[in-house]
Amino acid sequence: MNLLLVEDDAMLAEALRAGLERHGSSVDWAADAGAARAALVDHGYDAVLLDLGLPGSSGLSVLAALRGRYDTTPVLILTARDKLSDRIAGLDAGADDYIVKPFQPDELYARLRAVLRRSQGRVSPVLSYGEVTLDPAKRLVTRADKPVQVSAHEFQTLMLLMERQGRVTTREQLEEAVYGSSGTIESNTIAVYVHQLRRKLGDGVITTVHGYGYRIGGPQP
Amino acid sequence: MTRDWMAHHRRFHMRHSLRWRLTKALLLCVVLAFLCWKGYQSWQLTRERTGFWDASLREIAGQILESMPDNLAVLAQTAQTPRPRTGRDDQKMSFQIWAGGRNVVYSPAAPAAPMKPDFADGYATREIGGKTWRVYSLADPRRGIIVQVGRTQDMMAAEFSGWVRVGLIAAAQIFVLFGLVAWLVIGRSLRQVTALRKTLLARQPLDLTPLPLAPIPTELQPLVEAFNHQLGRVDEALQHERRFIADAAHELRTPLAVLTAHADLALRANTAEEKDAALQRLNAGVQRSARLSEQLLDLARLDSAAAGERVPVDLSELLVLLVRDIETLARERRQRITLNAEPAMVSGDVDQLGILLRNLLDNAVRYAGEGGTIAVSCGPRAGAPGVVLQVADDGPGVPAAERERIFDRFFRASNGNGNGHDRGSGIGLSLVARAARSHGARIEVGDGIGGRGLSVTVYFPSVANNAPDT
Repeated sequence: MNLLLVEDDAMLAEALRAGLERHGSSVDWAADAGAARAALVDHGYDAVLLDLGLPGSSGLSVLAALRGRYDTTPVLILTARDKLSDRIAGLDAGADDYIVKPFQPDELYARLRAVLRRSQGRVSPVLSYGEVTLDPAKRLVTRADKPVQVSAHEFQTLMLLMERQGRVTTREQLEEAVYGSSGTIESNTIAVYVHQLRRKLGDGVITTVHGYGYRIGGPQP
Repeated sequence: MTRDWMAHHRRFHMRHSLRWRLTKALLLCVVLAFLCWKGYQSWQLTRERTGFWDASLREIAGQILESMPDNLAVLAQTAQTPRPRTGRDDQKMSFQIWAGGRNVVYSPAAPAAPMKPDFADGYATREIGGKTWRVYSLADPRRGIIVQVGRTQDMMAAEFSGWVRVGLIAAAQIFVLFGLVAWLVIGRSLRQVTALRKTLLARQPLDLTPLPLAPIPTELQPLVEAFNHQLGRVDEALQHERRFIADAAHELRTPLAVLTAHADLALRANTAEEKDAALQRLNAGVQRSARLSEQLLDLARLDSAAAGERVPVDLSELLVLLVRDIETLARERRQRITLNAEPAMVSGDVDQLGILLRNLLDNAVRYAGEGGTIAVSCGPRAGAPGVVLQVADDGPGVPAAERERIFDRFFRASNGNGNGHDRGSGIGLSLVARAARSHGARIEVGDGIGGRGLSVTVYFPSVANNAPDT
């Protein structure tokens, strides 16, 4: 697995690199935003670990540049900015996950694995069902050719359902896709997202399969 | 650039100067009063003067008529024309004597045409040769003589302008006097303010004693009072900050001493097992320090935050993010978290709400115990006006007698994790209380899941009316 680590603190970068390499990844290190942008031109990285507090320019500008050219390489933000609003800004800018310093290395590896799992097997062509389309590269959902505003979590939920069109997707699979959760948390949040998606896309798109989960398309009950 | 700015600054300064404004207002009043008075005077004068002049015209006309010989109409046929004798003002006055339709005798400045062409007795004001004349015509039908007397009104105008000049000079003197008095009185009153400014400038940076009120003009006292009030608040914030630094120093030193001790043990360990054990304790100590510094930062942030910007926030979205963060910690303890989140709009500050949720969750996970369950929910609830957030666990809980105090800073429940390795800092719940208070939310503490453990319920006011108590 090829990773790009963008981190200006050499001591932390050294330790993370050693840890990640022990887990079988090969890690390139960029110490500032300029080097990171240069490394991300025509790159072959599976994921980017991005620090936000870089000298000169914010890590968010690196992320913006990457997403600006519809590059969907997973980005995991590592930052000392623990304000929740910073974090929401990071996720809104297109980060896949956000981890606050100081963190346990194990937590970083777990989050990284989750992010990679979610990105693998992702189909890049535009997915469509009825009058609804979802463009994974542009992170865009439309209904009858009009863009629909969806949150990051709603997007993940809808994307998995669209990818698995015609098949039932369980709540656990959806939770896994949305949070990379390992099942410690039992929550009704998927139901909330599905409810929101129905409100935005119309009732006919997502079908509830009682006792199992949800489905888009396939046999009508 | 600089000069422009200075010019602008000076203009700004002038426009806002009390002295300048008052002087301008006084000048305006004096000028208006002068104009009114002058107008009234002119009107009155014109009336009086017209009466006076008219009388003199009539008198002179009468005199001329009397001094004319009875046979003037006959004499007029000859070349001899008697010089009429008139009284005063004769050179400023013109006359014509008409007999048999001819102007037989006239003064040198008199116009050739009849001054009053209708020859009717009486006064008239007429335009003759571009000037305004006041004329009077008097006829003696017995002798067939008509006398017309007239005078231009330049005279009157000259007299009026004399009056105007005197009035202006008087007004200017009054204005100068007024302005001077206003200037001096204001300057004197503001001297106290200047003195106050000097006192302030000479102060030590953190000298927050209130300013004296006594010598300041009454009108400015509210300003000084407001300033003193603000000084008081700054003083309070400063005291808070000082307490915080003292507390933080104390709270940080102990864990750092623990780290040093375990690092030292690890270095000196004789066997790999001893080294590992020491390193594990070191790692635990690092985590505890990390959490503590996070909480101290949160504390500083909440202490210093003015009432942050209030925006509509969906608590359920924040909960989803933060529940995930706590997941690793929960998994280490083989705990189960159930999240029942319904859309829950509150009006608040995202960062402060984040501090509230994070510390509430962190506290629950730490005290629920190995293999425990943590139930998290948010949403509307019957009987409560706004939205309700609840975090409950099935751990050992807190004795009822101590429940009131768990939100006090540095308070630790007597039955909390007693092994010392994961001792709480006593800060987390005090942060929750502070953030809740600044959002106008009410906190209730009760039994946790199935009558065990602890539950903390936060009642947020409905979005429309949550004025925070500061």
